[in-house]
Amino acid sequence: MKNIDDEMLNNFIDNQLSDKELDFIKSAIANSPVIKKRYEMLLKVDNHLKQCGDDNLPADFTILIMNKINRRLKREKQQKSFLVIVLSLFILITVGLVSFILFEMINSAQIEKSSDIIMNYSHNISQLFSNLIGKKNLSIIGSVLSLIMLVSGYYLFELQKRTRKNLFH
Amino acid sequence: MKNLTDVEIIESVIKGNTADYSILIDRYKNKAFTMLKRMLKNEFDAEEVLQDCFLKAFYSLKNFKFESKFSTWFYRIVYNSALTKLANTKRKIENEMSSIDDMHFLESNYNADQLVKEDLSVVVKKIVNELPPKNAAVITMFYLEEMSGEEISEAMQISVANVKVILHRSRNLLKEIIEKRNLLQEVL
Repeated sequence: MKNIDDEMLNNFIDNQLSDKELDFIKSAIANSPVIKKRYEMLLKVDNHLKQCGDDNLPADFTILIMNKINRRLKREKQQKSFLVIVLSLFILITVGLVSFILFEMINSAQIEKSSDIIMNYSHNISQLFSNLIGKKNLSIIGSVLSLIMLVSGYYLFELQKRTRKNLFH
Repeated sequence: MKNLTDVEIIESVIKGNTADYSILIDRYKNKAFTMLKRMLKNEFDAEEVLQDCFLKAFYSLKNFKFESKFSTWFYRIVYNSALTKLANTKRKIENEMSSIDDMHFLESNYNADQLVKEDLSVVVKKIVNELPPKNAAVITMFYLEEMSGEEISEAMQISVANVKVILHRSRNLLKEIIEKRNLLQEVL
């Protein structure tokens, strides 16, 4: 007769035996008091483990996590908006500068009468931008750019500070 | 709302209903906390690691491929985070499966008086709380989360046979302690 070890009894409890093995174990448990005692002991352990409940967390745990998630999502949204604003300003200023340069080039060049229509059209557009980026306004634009750079620097510094804080806490 | 399946909740969260994630947290927090507490042997660390796990899971939801159950995927995050925490705190991680001899220190932790006087369910709970991390993880996932051997092996990234060995060894150890208790009760 094949020896019945705890491994087989454990598999019996977990219902992981073939029908043949199942019959064999069942008859062994019925006929041998020693095996029956070992089986009952393992079954007792199994029942006790099933009864071990879970530990409860503080009631506000879920709120804490959700607050963290919402804060992070809000921060990400703010960063995204800030980036869009800075990029838009940068694009606007670049377009203005390019137009101004083009206007200067067109002015200095000797253009024939046939291109008068185009000349007038581009003149009007470039006039608009040159008014914006004239010599007088250049210092204002410079100041605005400096301010944007300063604000960006501050936000980058804050972002780095928060990232470091998140890493170590 | 609370009757939604995990998959339905995940789909809703991905669509932008962030608040629905709280249902998943409520569903898994206590069981995952129990597993972490048993693995880390420290309530404060367990709570801290669990917060990170839920945040990690939230930001990785888009990568969840719905091929396995959310519970299996989430417990893999929990198990790996616990191992990382153990490694960071320089505690000994059992890379090899612990032998029965290694676990006998648990048995010796209980003197005859404690074993006989204390309620059996209390003794079992105390021993489970002192099991090595891998054993504690398997016992929790098997009994508390009622996960199958295959699901546990996927979560822990070990073979099903190893899961079975860990489970049976833990059970046998507890059986030996109960046998010892019964003998002592007969003697005293």
